[in-house]
Amino acid sequence: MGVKLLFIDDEDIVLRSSKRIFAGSGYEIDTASSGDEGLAMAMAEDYDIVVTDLKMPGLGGMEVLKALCRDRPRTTVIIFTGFSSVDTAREALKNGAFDYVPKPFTPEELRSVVANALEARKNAAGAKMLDLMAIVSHELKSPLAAVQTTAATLHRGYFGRLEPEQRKIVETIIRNCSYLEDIIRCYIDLSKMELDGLTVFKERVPFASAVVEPALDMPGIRDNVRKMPVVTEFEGDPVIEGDPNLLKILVGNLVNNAVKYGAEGTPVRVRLGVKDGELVFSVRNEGVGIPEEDLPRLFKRFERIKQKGTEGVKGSGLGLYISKTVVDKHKGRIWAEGEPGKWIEFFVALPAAAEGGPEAAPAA
Amino acid sequence: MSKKILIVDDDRDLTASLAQVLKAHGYEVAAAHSGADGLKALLAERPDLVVLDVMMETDTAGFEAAAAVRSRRETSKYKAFRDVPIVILTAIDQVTNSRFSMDPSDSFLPGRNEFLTKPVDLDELLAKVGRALA
Repeated sequence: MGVKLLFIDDEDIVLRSSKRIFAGSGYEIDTASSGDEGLAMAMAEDYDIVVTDLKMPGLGGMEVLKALCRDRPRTTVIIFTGFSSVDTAREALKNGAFDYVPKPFTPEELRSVVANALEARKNAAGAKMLDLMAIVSHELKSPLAAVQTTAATLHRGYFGRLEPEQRKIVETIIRNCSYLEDIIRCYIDLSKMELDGLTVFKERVPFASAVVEPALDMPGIRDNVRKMPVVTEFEGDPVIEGDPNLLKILVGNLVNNAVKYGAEGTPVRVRLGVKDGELVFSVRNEGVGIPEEDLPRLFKRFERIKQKGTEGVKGSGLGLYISKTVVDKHKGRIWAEGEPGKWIEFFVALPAAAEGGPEAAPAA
Repeated sequence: MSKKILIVDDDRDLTASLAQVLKAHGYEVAAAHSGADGLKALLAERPDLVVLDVMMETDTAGFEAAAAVRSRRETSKYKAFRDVPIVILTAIDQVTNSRFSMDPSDSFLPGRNEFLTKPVDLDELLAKVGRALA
């Protein structure tokens, strides 16, 4: 979907230079030379961003701003302000303007304010979508659980013996239920984290025994249908300060991904060690991997890398975003390395807890 | 004589599946679909074990029913059942379970409780029912 901008200013030169600045940006640009004309256009069309001058003959920019905030709440409004009128700029912000651009402006200044506005719009849309998905997910949980258990009952022959073909079909139902359950869990985890602002417990957590081992002990990982053995290499049981439940989600997500996207039958390597005062945890799988230029996109919300060889794999596009959120809350780092077509390894580095600090829990 | 299990869950489809499974393993099964009906059924059916969904029509209906069963009050209507084993079904997941501990040993309810999260794993259900009735 294209981005639509409207510039409102009574000075023709401002309109022309704005048009020039965004020429070649791919945005659709309209201009209006008065507040009345601009407001009429903005009411008639769905603009993403309206940039309006404040001082114009007839309807002023502040009125345009107020009218748009009231009747076109989805449009982002930016203000051009004349000679350092800080007070009017402040008033405009109070009235709902996203930002202001002092005149005269350089192309860079205008571009950067518009870019910020577009980014903010994207994030707001993402947050709204997430809220909605969380609500929907919650409602989906019970019926899904009923479908899953009913299908399992059928599969196990409690309602009569199934023919091999029938069993296969029921397995398809069960498999898709698991995908759906995974997606639902992701949305719920994520919305919980975002809603709570995530108050992380600070608890001393032995990472191998209290996080990795229980996370690996899930049926979907331990006896995964893709016959991928999980090989662990732990250097001791390093302790960090954090929230064991969130850390289990992190480890579960990374290992689940490896099982989902790795080549069938190849091992998943889970390593844990300490390096330069940091705990380093990594999960490696063989398989299609990811092209280097896509690596930075991996940890963004709703991003699913379209990658040859993963077409049949279903996911929410949220697992790695959730993982990054958990890592950020623990003041750590997460990144990926790999060779496309061969292997990929996800690394997490978390600050190790001070040895036996005053808050150290008594040994269990 | 076969043991009797009362399933209390407002999801009738799920109840039907679980009932079928439990019957196939030799248990007698009764069902109720709300906390209040569950308490009535407890008195009428006199089960050896209760499978109780604690996330029914309201968030607390199941918990209230469980608390009524476990009540230590001398005048409690459910006095005869205060020690009946309960398999508690929850849909509460890892992050959201802050209100109630999933660890039976420091449970909010005294007595013999087993916990099972939805979607129900059938083997786990049978194992926990078997253990609670042993």
